[in-house]
Amino acid sequence: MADAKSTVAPPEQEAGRQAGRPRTRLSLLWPDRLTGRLGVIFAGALLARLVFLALMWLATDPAAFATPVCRWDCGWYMGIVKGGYDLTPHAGASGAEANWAFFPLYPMLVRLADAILPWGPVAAGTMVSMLTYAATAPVIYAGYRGQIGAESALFAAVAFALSPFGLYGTVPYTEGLFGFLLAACLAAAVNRRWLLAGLAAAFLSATRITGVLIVLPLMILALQQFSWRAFFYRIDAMTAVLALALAPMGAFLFMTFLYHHVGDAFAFRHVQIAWDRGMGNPLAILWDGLQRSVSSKEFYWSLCAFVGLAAAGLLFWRRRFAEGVWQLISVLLPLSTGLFSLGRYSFTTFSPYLALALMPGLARSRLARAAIIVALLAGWYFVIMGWTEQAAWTI
Amino acid sequence: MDHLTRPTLIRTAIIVSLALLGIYYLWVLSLTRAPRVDESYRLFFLEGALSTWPDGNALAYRVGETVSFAEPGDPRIGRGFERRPNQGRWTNGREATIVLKPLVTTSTPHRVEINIARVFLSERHERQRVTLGIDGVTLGTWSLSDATGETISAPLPAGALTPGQPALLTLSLPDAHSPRSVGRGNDARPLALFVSSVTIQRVDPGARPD
Repeated sequence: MADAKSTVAPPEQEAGRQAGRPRTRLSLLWPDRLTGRLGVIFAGALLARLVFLALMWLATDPAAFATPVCRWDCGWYMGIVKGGYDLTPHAGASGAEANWAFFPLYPMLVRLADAILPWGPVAAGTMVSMLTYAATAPVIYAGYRGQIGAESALFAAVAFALSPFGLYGTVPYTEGLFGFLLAACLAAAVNRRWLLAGLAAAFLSATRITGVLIVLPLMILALQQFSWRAFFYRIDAMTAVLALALAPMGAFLFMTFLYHHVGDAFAFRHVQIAWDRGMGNPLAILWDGLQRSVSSKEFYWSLCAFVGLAAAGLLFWRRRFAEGVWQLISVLLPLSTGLFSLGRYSFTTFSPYLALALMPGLARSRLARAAIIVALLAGWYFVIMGWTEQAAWTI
Repeated sequence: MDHLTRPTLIRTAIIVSLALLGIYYLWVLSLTRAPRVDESYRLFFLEGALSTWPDGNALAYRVGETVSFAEPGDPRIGRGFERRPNQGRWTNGREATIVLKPLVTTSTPHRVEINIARVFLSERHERQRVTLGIDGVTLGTWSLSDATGETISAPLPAGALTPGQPALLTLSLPDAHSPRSVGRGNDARPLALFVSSVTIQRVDPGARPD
């Protein structure tokens, strides 16, 4: 409740106050308070990405910088940017790996950026990642300040922007774009802007297959906002249903493309067998990982998954059910296929940072929040060194 | 048009949009039921029978040829066998597949022979049950209790081999278990048989049946 005291006026009231204030000639040129604040948050988050990139550059051989930036999945995305989708498999130990597993929105944006910028697709991919990751921070603030208070929303936005897992929002991976669309979708839905939420969800499902599962948190929010009868006559409730129906659109468009390109609409799913990925009990996998050596990458991934699940629990406890369900999905789904990349999957969306902002002890203590920001910044060192030295735990 | 208010129009537009989305989604889902793919794609991705992508005519098999499991990269040695050979290959899991595409066959009967060089036995499983099948038809069941292995052999039913059509030989291994589970090292793979070769031969009409 202490958090509520620190809350600034709800967005509508604040907008009303600003609307009532006489606009001077100067204020017509200058953005209003909220827009200005969002601009500062975006600029700060982008600066953090640029500093992160500069530190990566310092930690590696500057002459061959593109190689350390573009590793692992980035190679697949750059392949799509340069040559489009494969017609036949060609890579990996089985010779059956193909780029059908990688959804098209991110490589499409990179190709667009590459057509405009002169520095090549890796730089274009880095640019798209950094801009979308940085843009997530103001979306968190704008979307949640009316929900959890301006100070907590600002803390969540800053923690997200300065997280060491921002690595994946710096290198050419989909995490930046996915995190941005997710934040935009849920922030729009919690503020009852359902058409915007539906469009963001459709783009989300064109970025990664897990984006389709956004229907679950959206459904929770719709049921929290409307009675079931309202879905039959109220326009805003019917728009929420339309948003839910729009959510899988991106994935279905990709499936249509794959059917015409490869002959199999489920090629993105079937190709997973080439990586020997199967499904298992996520909790058994987690338990197995936690019993490994403390210095192993499996233990690190398991610990990330455990903390990620704890964040989901915290969100449920603070009655943020939609965000909690999303956090649960983003940990349990990849965990059911193994421990691989659990750090990346658990902490590159805004939901764990929202959980952090809602942690009871932290809501009152600015000192504790400052300590957390310092700890996050300290994490940069390990992540940058791990990535540039090709440590497998950073995959 | 006067009686159509703006809210009514919006409601109608939403309902029409929902209907169109529903139709589109159903159409795409109907496409998933009928993939238009070639044989390699079907065997590797849809049936999960292969573990190496078969380029060109790599699944081709000449009756009488011995497929050595000591050779690396043979795509005919399918899913359920370890990928790297060492004078043969262990089965890895409760099912293993061999895919052979006969080039030419004759009307004479054939039999399949699988040379098993070792059998993984332990206190928990003192025998390994093996069921051999071809394209879903059971050819025989064995219970192997000699760790040094043996050759299992079974006649193929008439019409089991069709020229140019891949035949799926399947080994079902319900007693496969890992060395780790019985305290013999750290290998977590469920092992059963160490296979060294497989052959399909014509049966000499004068030979005495088993």
